[in-house]
Amino acid sequence: MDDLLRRALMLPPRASSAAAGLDHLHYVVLGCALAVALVLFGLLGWFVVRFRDRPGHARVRPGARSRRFEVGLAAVTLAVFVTLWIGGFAQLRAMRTPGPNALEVYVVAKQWMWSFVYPDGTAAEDELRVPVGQPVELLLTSRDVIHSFYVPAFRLKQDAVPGRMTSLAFTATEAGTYDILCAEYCGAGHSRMRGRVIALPAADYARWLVAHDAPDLARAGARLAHERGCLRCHDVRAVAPPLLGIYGRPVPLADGSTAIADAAYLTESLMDPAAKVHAGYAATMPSYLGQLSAADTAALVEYIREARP
Amino acid sequence: MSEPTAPPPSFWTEPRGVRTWLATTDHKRIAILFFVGTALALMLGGTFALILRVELVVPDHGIVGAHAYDKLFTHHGIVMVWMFMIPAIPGVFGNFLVPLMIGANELAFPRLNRASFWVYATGACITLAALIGGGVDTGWTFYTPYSTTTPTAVAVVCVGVFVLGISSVMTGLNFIVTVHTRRAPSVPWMKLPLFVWTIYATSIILVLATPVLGLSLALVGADHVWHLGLFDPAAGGDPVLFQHLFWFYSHPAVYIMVLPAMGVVSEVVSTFAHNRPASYGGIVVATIGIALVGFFTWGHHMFVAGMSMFDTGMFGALSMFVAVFSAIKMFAWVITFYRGRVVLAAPVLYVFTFLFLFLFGGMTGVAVATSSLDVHWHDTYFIVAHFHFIMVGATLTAYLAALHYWFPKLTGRRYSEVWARRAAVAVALGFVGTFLPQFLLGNAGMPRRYYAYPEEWQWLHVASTCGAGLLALGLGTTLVYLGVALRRGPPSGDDPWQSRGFEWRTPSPPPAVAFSAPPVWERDAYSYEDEVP
Repeated sequence: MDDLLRRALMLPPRASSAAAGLDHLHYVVLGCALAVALVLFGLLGWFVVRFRDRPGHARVRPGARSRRFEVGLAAVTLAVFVTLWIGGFAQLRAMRTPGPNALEVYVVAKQWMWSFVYPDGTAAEDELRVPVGQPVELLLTSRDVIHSFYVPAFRLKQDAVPGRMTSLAFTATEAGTYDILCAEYCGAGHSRMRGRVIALPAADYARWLVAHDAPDLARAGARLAHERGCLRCHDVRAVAPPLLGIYGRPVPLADGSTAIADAAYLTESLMDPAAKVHAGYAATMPSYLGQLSAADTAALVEYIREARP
Repeated sequence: MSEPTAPPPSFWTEPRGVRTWLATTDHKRIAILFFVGTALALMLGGTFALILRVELVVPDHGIVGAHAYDKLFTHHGIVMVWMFMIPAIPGVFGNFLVPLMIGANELAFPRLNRASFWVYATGACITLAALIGGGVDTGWTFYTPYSTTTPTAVAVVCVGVFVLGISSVMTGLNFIVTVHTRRAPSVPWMKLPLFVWTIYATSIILVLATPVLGLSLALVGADHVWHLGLFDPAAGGDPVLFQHLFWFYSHPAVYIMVLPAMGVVSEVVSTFAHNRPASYGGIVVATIGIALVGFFTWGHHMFVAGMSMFDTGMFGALSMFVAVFSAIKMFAWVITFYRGRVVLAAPVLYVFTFLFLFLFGGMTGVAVATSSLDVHWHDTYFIVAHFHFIMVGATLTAYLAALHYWFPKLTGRRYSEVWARRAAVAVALGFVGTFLPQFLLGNAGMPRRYYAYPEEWQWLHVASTCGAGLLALGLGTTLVYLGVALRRGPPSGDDPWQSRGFEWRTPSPPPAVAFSAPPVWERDAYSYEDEVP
């Protein structure tokens, strides 16, 4: 029955942990719409036939208005809509929360391709390999205009915005190859900005990783931090906040709030340093937007994460 | 040219001459000018749509290239939104009917009204001039940083739409002041025809929201020309800020389009059911409610743009209130037919189509406001189909219902009822045929604004294009028989539908000056009680 409905509605096969729940809510909303339509248009049809203008049609005075009926009808409608909203919002929260030990993959979109960088430094164009059953968190940004990472089989989508880091969490449930589409209009190549997610059984994924024998990402990051001169400032406590041991910690900000020094915060600080300035430091850091490749950015973040004082 | 009867003097012929038409401050003549403008816009925007639909019959290159395709959907949106749907019902029927419905001879500011038409015409010409300069490829939403970096004529279009916005504000201001100050003594607020209430609510949105559109387009245009970096992260700008600014106008703009459509439906339903609206008070409250809540739902366009969970939740929940207010109206319209004397004619056939599109357009709106489902549907053909149902379908069917209902009022003539019914059926089947397959395409995952698509979706695109052809046929037919009726239609009499509406209590077509003294109307605009023994 489930599969029949899915096919009738032209929904793609399901390959993520979020897909089934979304489809089921879809059926519920569609069911509500059809039920309301049946009742309302049934009534309308009956009224139109029963009270149509014809010889001998005798008018009857319509009943008096009942405010209680009107308010009650509106309240029931509101209750139905709010119930749907609660269901959908709860579902969205669950979808957006990455599972434990999520594999983080950096995604950089540009006209008109997708680049992926893995924690071990492996980089790939237009092809994202993920292990089935393991939570994955994608950290997305864009090099030029806004794009949107969309995998219909996962029922998931997230905009990739230049200067921002957005995230998308999922767990692939079925091994296979699925289309990645760009869902935000980005110019003449928009409809050709396609990639593939290849969901591999865990053992195959591990084999693929080994086969790549990639350089260690954190080590690459350490080298980069020296080359780019990051440590010339970030080693001097008076000039810039130290990087060692900061990852995952709360950072007091100049405006009095705090931020967690996660991948999103660190990437934002690289690309738009003035956005969230560490309390007690002047906003002197230059922006590295367009200066660092996706792989370099990922390497630096990984270096900061791994580094311990 | 055969004239069946010598027409009595009316606003059409008094005073005579082309110059008196161009310089007119008569609200009835300005309505006709707006009709000409919006009808031309509908034809132009429709032509763009047909080219798009024909291109999409094949999965890859068909009749136009990818870049031309991008420009076509951009101009389709711009023409249809700002040159057709926003001014269509307020500019034509609002202008013509609001004074007649409140017992006034004019709007409060007749010269401002004249200016609003000519500013509209100027804005439309500037916007179309961009086509000569090669057109724009941003989509009608002008998302930054694409719009600030594309080499196409963005600044020209921004100026054009800015000017169109000025016309909107003029129209809105005029209606607000008119409803407050020009009502005849026998038309207190709670006896205002429902159409006037919706024009009033729409005018509030026009005046409050349009300046924000002007602001955001001015910023995009300036950024495009002078590279200010307002929305460029490398220069400290924020591309998502533009989306907030744009949707702060463009979401309420949906209600600018659909509220007057609802007003038309309330009038047509009451007249053809020969019944008082089931809940006048409920419809008024819902009208004002939609206008106000509509200002706080813009964020539901940005659920996957990186917005916080809290904002996503709030915007989703607030959107549900719009749905409740819409549902109240839907219930009221259906119940109005109960124990009425239902006459089936072309206007009410259009209203049936409206109700169908409005219900499914509205419920798909509820579906995307649940927020989780929007993650799959956002920016796909599901959204395209959803907003074409609720915004375009509702506005277009109400515009056609209004045109058929008030055609005798405007012209004093009748059109061919047989052809009108045929066209109404063609429009209904054509519209549903165009967009029902697009809901399925969205389910399947087809993103909008795609030039090329995987082959397995081709049959749905073919079906959609067939629907569009039928829709175009219906609209073309309408143009022909209404054109014939305008010249040779038999006289309609003053009140051919036996309506109790205030606007039917003047001659059809009305003379240049409709009321020699403030009218005294003892019965309100929905007083069908005398039909009941």
